Amino acid sequence: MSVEPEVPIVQVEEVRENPVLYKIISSDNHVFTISEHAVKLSKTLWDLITNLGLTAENALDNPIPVENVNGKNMETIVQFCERHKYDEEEPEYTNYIREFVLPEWDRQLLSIDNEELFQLILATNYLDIQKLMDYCCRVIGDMAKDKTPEELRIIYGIPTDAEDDALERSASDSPGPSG
Amino acid sequence: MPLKILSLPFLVQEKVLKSMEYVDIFMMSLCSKRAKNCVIRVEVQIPKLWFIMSAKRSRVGIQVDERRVWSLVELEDCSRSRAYCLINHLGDGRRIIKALQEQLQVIFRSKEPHSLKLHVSKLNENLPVFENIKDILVTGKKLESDVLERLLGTYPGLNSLAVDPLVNGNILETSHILRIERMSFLDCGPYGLEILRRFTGRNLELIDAPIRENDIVDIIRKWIANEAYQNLETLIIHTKDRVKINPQLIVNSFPTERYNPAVRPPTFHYDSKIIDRYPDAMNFASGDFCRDVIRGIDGKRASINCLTESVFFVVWN
Repeated sequence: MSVEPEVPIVQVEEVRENPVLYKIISSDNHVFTISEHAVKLSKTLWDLITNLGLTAENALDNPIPVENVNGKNMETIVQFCERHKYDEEEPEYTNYIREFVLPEWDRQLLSIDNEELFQLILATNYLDIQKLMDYCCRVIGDMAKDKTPEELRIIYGIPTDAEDDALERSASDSPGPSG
Repeated sequence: MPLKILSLPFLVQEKVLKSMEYVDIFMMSLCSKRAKNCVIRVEVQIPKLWFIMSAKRSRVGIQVDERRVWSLVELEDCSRSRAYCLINHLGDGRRIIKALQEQLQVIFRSKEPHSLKLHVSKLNENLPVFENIKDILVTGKKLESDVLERLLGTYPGLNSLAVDPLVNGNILETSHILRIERMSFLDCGPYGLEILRRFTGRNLELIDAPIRENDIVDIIRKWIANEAYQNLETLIIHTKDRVKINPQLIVNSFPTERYNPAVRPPTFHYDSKIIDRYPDAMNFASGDFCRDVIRGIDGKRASINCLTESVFFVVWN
């Protein structure tokens, strides 16, 4: 089944100046179209496109399979990249990425359940999309606000020392390959 | 369902932690040994750590810019901020302070040594002992010199000291205070003046100084003659209760030169590196009593700006 994502808003200027579109296939065979400016936000995808020698002429005939990212995450990623494709390059937050204000549009986009957010961040890491990574990390970091260590353990699924020790013991007690 | 932060790739964990407030990073480090190790690996850089023991509120904070310190751990009276309340969780005592400091030192990295702000009411028998303190600010109204001496004995080798209260008492020959190169006294009194007479350091600031013209002349003459103050970089004096001094009398007491743009720039930029004081600039190109003096032995130049209620003396590098 092929599910077309929401049609990205392609600005008139881009159609005129830069009509190149690429096709991406997610791990569950959903097909997405993404503009050149947007796909450049992903270092992994752009390196792939460059290495494959895809051009304006053959881009749509050569869909790029991305086996590590499912359709749901890819849809979010395409939306994000299309939204931010004309953003000016931001300074790298070498120490603290809490310095920026997370735009409301992005906060809405990333208002998803924890399991989805976990998978999205792995996908973002794989596709190497710096800005989306910063935003996702910021959303995860913000979950810690006003929380006690006990609450943080629940939110972030952090086992207690006793639980970690028990896990380690059970791992060492279990028979190895030769056992 | 939890978002299993420790299952994320390390580079992602690092970014998540660096997106958190300092206090949240500290909370994370308390969740478990594994969480603490994760925080340690991230090597969170902080500008400077402050230990603040006020009259009614004691806390540990991180200085985020020149004038702001964000609370990290409350040691008493935990109702004021959302910082982690140590006492509520762990009880009181030096052992706790030591454990706290160890925790902070492994999870936060700072190129700067720590600063300590202490109210005089905390200078009792149970003087708190923190490690790596190089700058101390004492607040309050009055302080006995032997109490100050005991504090400086506990924290030897300071880079700077600022004392707000009026200090009562004498300075011993062996006093630790004479080894500190950068000092400030908010209520100078006779103690501060005695410090001035025996000062061998670099930067000194005296507020509310009961000083007269002949004291100032004596200091500048000694500097010119290389008899004292060889290391002096900046000396700032404000007179007590706005008592007027006569600038004419001062600048006529030794040979001076008027400002010459060919010899030096008009503005002296300085950073006294005294705790709780900030970099500033002084103009030494105008004013009736703005003059240069030269040290005979090496030709070193200093500028004096004499006003009726204050004196600025800076040595050009």
